[in-house]
Amino acid sequence: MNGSTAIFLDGFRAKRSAPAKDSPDSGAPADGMLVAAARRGDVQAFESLYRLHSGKVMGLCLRMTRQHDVAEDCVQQTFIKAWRNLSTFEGRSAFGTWIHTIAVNVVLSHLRSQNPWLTVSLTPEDDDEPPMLEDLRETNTGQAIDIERALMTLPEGARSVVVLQAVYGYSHEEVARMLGIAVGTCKSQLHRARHLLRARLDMTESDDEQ
Amino acid sequence: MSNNTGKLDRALSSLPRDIEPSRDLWPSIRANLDRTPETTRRPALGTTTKLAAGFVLLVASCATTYWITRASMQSATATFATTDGNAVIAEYLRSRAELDRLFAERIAALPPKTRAKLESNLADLRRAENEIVAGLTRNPSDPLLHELLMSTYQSEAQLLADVSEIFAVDLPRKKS
Repeated sequence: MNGSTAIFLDGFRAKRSAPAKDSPDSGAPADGMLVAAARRGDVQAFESLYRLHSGKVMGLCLRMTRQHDVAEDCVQQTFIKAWRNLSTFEGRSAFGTWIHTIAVNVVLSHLRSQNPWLTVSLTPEDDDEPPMLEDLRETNTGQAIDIERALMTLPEGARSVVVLQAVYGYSHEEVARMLGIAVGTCKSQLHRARHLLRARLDMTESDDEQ
Repeated sequence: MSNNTGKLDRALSSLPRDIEPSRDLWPSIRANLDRTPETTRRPALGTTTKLAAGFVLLVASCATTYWITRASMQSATATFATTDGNAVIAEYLRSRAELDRLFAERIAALPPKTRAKLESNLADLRRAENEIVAGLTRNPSDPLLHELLMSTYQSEAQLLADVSEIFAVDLPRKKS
């Protein structure tokens, strides 16, 4: 990597501490240059992409898997797969969307491979707090923790949709594409998720409309 | 991007998107960038886990052979497969005590709810096994019961092996 690229990357590394909230692809202007460098085999550029996107990928994986160790494994696999498939990234979507799609595939593969007899339900009646809340508590407070806890009790399909759509801001079409489901299914899962979340947060429909 | 305005949507969209991993994952990623695909961070399998995994493979292979050949050589093959399957099951049952010991050891350190759920799942599987074995006592040549028994033993072996493997890794992190 040449000197000017390194300075450019340092600037974006610094910006990472205050990510924009309005788009799932914040940081996108930096990505094009980094992706181009990484495609030429520049591992340092790819590391910068990792530094820019690992937090969001981890957040996504953690909320979808509900297990810290599994989420970290999924993050690693996501970036390894991304590196191996960089040549297929055509830049039609943002790098953030592309890597989130890989992350979702990695998580879904993991969930599909799970032994159903090993599944331990995390219902609201459980006294033991799921370990992932410890990670979320570092960044969340008060109501946010209640919402995270309610999110974790959702069935897998509904949880994946609400996390991608409502937390990460993807459209129904994008979520449907990522999860490999129909847009109609995505909408009904979101409706179901919202209904369950309201019930678990003691929130009425009129509260929600305020 | 969707246009969310409700209280619930506002609350959800205000959740932090970034959650930092507890450690820097880059060194592990970097180490794998030049390798052929093999990315899962798993501990080496113990002897017992290997045994259970081997059993699972063996059962799967027996079941596949059984069902593929059944159509053309129904009666003869069923007898052969059953005998073959019985030998596999007998071997598994001999080794199960060790798997049980490991299972009990692993779940002892887990939170009570998790432990209860895993014990309940294992009890369900064993109840099913007992019912199938009782059915086989009445109808020893019933191919469906043989298949069900194989499948149930396979699920049991997989559960015991997974608990032994996964919670062996997580053990130091769990609250007692």
